[in-house]
Amino acid sequence: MSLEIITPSSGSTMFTETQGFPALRKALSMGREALQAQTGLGTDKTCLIARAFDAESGAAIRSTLLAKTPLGILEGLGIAALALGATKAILALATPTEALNVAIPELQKLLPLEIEVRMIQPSFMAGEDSALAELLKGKPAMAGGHEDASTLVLDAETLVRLATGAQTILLQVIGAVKQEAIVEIHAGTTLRQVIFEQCGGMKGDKGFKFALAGGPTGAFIPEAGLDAPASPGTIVVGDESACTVDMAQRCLAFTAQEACGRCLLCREGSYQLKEILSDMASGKTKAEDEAQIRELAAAMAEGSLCPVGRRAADPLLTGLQHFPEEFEAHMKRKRCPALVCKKYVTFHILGETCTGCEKCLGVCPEEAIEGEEDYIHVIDAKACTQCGLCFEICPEGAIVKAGPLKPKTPKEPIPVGTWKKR
Amino acid sequence: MVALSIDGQTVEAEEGKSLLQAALDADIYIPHICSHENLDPVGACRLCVVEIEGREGACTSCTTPVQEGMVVTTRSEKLKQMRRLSTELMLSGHPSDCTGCPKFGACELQSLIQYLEVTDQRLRKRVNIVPSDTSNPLVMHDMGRCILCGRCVRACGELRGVGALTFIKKDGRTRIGVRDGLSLAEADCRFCGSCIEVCPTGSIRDQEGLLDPNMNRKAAIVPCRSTCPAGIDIPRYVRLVREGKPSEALAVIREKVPFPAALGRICDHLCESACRRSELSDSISIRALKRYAAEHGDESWKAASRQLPPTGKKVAVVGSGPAGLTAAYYLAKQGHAVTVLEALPEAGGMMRVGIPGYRLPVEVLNAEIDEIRKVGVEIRTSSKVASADQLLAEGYDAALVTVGAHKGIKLPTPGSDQAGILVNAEFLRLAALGTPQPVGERVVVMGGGNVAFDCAGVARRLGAKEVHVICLEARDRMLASPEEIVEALEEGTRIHPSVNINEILGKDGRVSGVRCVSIRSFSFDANGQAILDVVPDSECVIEADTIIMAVGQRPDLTEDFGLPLGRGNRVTVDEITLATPKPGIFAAGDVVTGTKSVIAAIAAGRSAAASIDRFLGGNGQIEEVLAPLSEPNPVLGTEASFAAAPRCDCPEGYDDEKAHQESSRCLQCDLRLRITEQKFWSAYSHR
Ligand code: SF4
Ligand code: SF4
Ligand code: SF4
Ligand code: SF4
Ligand code: SF4
Repeated sequence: MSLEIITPSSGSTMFTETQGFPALRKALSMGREALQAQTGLGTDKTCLIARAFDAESGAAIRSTLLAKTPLGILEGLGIAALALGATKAILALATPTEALNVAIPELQKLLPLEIEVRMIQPSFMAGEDSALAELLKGKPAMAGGHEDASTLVLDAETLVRLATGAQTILLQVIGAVKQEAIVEIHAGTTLRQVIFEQCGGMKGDKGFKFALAGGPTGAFIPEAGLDAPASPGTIVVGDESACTVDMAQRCLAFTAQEACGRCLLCREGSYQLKEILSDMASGKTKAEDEAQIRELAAAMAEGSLCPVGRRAADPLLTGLQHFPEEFEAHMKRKRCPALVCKKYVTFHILGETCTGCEKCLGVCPEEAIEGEEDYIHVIDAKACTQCGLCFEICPEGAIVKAGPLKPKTPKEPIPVGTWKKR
Repeated sequence: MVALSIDGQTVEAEEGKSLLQAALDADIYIPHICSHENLDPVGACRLCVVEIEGREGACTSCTTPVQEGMVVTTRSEKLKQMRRLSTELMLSGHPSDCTGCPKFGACELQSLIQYLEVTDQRLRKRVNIVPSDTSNPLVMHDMGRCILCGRCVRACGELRGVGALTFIKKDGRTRIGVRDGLSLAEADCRFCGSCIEVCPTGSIRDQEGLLDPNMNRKAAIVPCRSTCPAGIDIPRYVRLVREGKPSEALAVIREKVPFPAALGRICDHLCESACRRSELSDSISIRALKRYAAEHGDESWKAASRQLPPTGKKVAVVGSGPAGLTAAYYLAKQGHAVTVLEALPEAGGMMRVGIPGYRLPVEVLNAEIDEIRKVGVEIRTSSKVASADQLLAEGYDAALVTVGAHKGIKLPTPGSDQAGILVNAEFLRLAALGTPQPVGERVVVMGGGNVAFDCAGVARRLGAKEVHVICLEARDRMLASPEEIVEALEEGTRIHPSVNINEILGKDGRVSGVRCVSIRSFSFDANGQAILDVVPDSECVIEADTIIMAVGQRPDLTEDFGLPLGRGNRVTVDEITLATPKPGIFAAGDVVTGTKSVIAAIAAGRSAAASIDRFLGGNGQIEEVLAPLSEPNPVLGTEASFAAAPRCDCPEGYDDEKAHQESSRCLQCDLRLRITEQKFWSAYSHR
């Protein structure tokens, strides 16, 4: 993935390539107690697991770190092992990294640490510490089992920070910004700065609507929250054309699909929420749904065995909290104000704009468009499945989406130029 | 011990115990389903939530250890709502209707639904159609009913160390299944049934039809033990053999029978036909393992053997077969003075004069009879008893008639009045006593049971060159045990199944052969007359100079003996007490049941001993524990190709290695009975 990497203009960065393990050498000379004090790593562990892969598809922070500074990860691992008294370390990767083959024996000259490089199939659950530990034991990636207190999972970012001493955090910004990027910032930098300075503002200069921070189990941040300090992780930015109900539905559908399902509340709760949301997006909301959302969300947050389930309802809850009108429009008025949720949207071809180019005709999989060259095309609303392909392809912008207010368009194809709106 | 308060009740519990278990032990019900007393708790179903003073929110009592002074509330509106929600979530993907579910009435989920009064109406239903997997002959998976409590996975992994079952995430659904898409056999399942035992729903079950519906469930789970007429604790002794403890294994067998060595050679082993293992590969060679234990075990079983002080009562036992000697043995141990009166010059009954010495060597039998003498039983041979009344007149307080069924039946087949026709019981008896009836070169045995094959074997050993066994039954219906048939074939005996002998041919008053027809099937009418479906033109003649009729035996008794005789000349007794109408006179074994097996006779002897002991004022308690009751190792681990492991048969008896190998094949069906049965809410007083 060719993501831009935006590093801070001042101070040390995580993306400095290191050589010869200087920080580890220094740590070796420090004595364990001083090192523990400096790193904040205290409790004894026998085995460390370095998470150097991205669990969600599209996420790239760790894989980028691995590509840019594999030795930093390795060095950090050495330092952590030293501080924690670990004798074994597993480097969990999803991309083969040749540099490690040479570097590991080098590091082992400095430190007696058994290091195993393990290639794993990344999955959402592998992002969960306890599930990753299971996966590495050759079992399914399930969370919430018996945690082994002698093992600790450390993130690539944490490790690189140990090696470089950088005081920065990493964000990955994707979505409706001009420049999708991995952004390295100093603590305290606001989300507004990240989006409007580092990432160059909104794509197409559209209005900002939300940021979803923390992936599919993350939280919506509205405009009003932009001036708070940004937190690390992935941020999906949505503009005014995005729908928070749709976004929340996709998050819950993802969690319901990916969560390991060991515990009841997460497994069945996320399924229920996903169904409630999909009903919400298609006009089937029931009177008791909102109360049920709250009941399920509270139970999941309290009773799930791992953070996935505890946070699964967050997109929905924060959506309800920050975008109450949009949710209410879906639930009570069967409308999608952003015209995203298909069931609430119709497509129309504007008589005054269509040039009869026939492009939409060819792309519609349902053959729902009628027309011929130089005739204004017409969509048969009954046959249209709201796939949006015509909307994307029309070079004239003649195809529009509509909610309850429909534009006036010809009933059947008429020659271009003969349509008069009354 | 720590003291805590649960719902205002002070409860004492061992340190480290979970709050849930402490409550349940104190007879306080807290709903739960993913937790099980024998498994590590997970806290996945959240039914066992409780409130603890000073702690935020609700916590799962299964994962919370007890603490001194804890103040716990298990019942509140909020907790009830949480439990109901959990149950509704479980039901969302569960069939709506319990009727038709094989677990109906024994299902923990069903009971929970009742207790919490929930339905699947409130939440959205989740389609969950999984075809049931009946491919394994022992364990069936019906995962459409699974609520993913994970008990089976923990039982298989943590408890048994097998790890065949696992959570599987596929296409966005979590399910339980066999790891890596394998079959149970391929995943090295040990078929211990623990997953079945812990499953709270009907999702993992014993394969349809596997559990004998005529037994109670616990008995049916260990079919070998429940099928053994004497109830020998088979899995226990098989396990001890595997552990290299033949003496303890022998003691376990001795807890139920005084003839381990004899049985180890000639038992008709119904247990092996019932053995669950046979569904996978072959049944366990339970009999051969018994022989191994008898041959390799020492006398340590005697240490705990019960011997009660003399009661001053005298008991006579008429007949020294397995029933008589067994009864005599236990009666003597109960403190009674027992005299066995045997008509023949040798003791042992059918074991001595029915079963040929090449199958049950005389020394083996004598050694076991000597053990019976050692507990004080007096055996008088060549002492025929003329009548039951005579015994009471001689001052016995009670008498047991176990004279067996020693009179062979002679069929009225045309030509059966010629010389050269012998009868099974007499033939075998005289041969066993060293005065055999001579046989010619060509012998025909009529009959297809074990006795017929014994006659064939003895005839061969007496010099017959050609031996034919002819019976009405089809090959797969023959009554003899498969081993005996195979052995006979190996010796060269020719077997003619589905054949009727129409006539015995003769010359000068001596047998010269038989005229036979093949039949398709046969049945008997109300008068006991055979009705044959004859194959046309199938008549043939088999030449023979000796015919041995082996078509059944009956008790050699007449009315003169003084006991009422019923069908087949058998003595009628009370089914439970084995008492005859004559006060103080009991009867047991073949004389009551007609020809049965040695082990059935031994079992009858035990019942008779208990009954007579009670009659004489004792408590009838003859059960003994002769081997230490050690806790079996619950961890089974895996063994490559366990499911297919072939049976090891060894006619000369196992050595240590073979015994280990064979005993290791046992599924240890009894292990799952050690899993604590989960009580339903209705069994708790505080609920
Ligand atoms: S939205 Fe899709 S289905 Fe509808 S007219 Fe356009 S291309 Fe056809
Ligand atoms: S498993 Fe239990 S709850 Fe489910 S259908 Fe069967 S009896 Fe009913
Ligand atoms: S080993 Fe036992 S618990 Fe595991 S699957 Fe087999 S029968 Fe079930
Ligand atoms: S099969 Fe039974 S024990 Fe296993 S998870 Fe399902 S309901 Fe629980
Ligand atoms: S496998 Fe073992 S315990 Fe099970 S029936 Fe056979 S002998 Fe008995």
